[in-house]
Amino acid sequence: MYCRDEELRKDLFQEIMIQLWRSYGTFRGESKFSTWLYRVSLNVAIQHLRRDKKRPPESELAGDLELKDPNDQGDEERLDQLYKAVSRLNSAEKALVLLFLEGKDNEEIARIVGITQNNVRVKMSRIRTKLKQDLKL
Amino acid sequence: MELQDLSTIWEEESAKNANTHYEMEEITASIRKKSGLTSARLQRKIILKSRMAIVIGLGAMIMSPLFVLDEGDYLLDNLLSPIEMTVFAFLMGAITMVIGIHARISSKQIERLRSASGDLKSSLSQTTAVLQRVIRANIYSDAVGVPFFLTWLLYAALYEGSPIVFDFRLLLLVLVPVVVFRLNVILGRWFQAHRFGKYIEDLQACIHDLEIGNEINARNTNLEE
Repeated sequence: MYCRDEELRKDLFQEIMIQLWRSYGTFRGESKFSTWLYRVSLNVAIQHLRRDKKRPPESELAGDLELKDPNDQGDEERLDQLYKAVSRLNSAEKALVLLFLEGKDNEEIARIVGITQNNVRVKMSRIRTKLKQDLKL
Repeated sequence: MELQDLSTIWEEESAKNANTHYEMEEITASIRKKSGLTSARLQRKIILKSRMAIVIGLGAMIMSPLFVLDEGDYLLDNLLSPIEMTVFAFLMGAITMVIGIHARISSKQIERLRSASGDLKSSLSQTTAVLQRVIRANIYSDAVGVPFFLTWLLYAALYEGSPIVFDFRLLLLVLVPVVVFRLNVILGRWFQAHRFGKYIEDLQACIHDLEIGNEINARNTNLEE
């Protein structure tokens, strides 16, 4: 979600592995393992973002893009649709969407990101609006 | 398309990738590879600087008495006396050592940040604050060496062994290093901003994005009250 390019994705995977390895000692069991995992991974993903100046710009959505029913499309196309949908979101919003897609509830999203549940609700609502506008729904 | 549709696509993709298997060697190799994060690159530079500064500083401090003990021919013989050379070398060594030790502390701070597992917002705030502090310290430590060296050369050239008196020469002795120091700081700021400025701006933008909702919340709460 933070990088579609294969090489960059490998880089990001490596970064996350390094940091998970280094951070393992800091996991004290005070939160769920998955919460800790997401925290470390998101920290790395956001710090990794825009590091490479040579990185090609993220794809912009065509203004007149018509989206079909996800069930009628091929796998690659559907995935492409998903990435296009989130490509215009900023890094913080991407973090929230990613956690939402991973099935986390507002409480856990708030704990991982470090904002209030109210704030999560406000942001999710803004993201919905943004997606609707961008995708011309 | 709604978020729920995206969720369906994501779930299906995740299910497909659920059986992706990573070899242990692949993971170990990943962990051993040098990290490309900006903070990691900055840390590597600081570690190198710290090691070099500690070795050079310590060497200069240990070797400084040689100027008095061994009356050989030295580069600055015609400018400084052996005692002045000893004091000069010792002080330069001490300053370099302090810079090296400070760099070592900075490197440890970055190390802690890189393995931090706090929530996203506080991790980003801490990262930004520590990186700004480290970069600022870098600027000043890089800027201090040349003016110090210049002070000694100026002192030797202006006074030529005579005692220090309060005249125009003393003004020069103070002003020139101060001006050179300021210029070095300005140059250092520009250089560091050029290298790391964009990265810090991006992190700050992300913190700002996370805080926007809080402001709206606070405003709504105030309206409700």
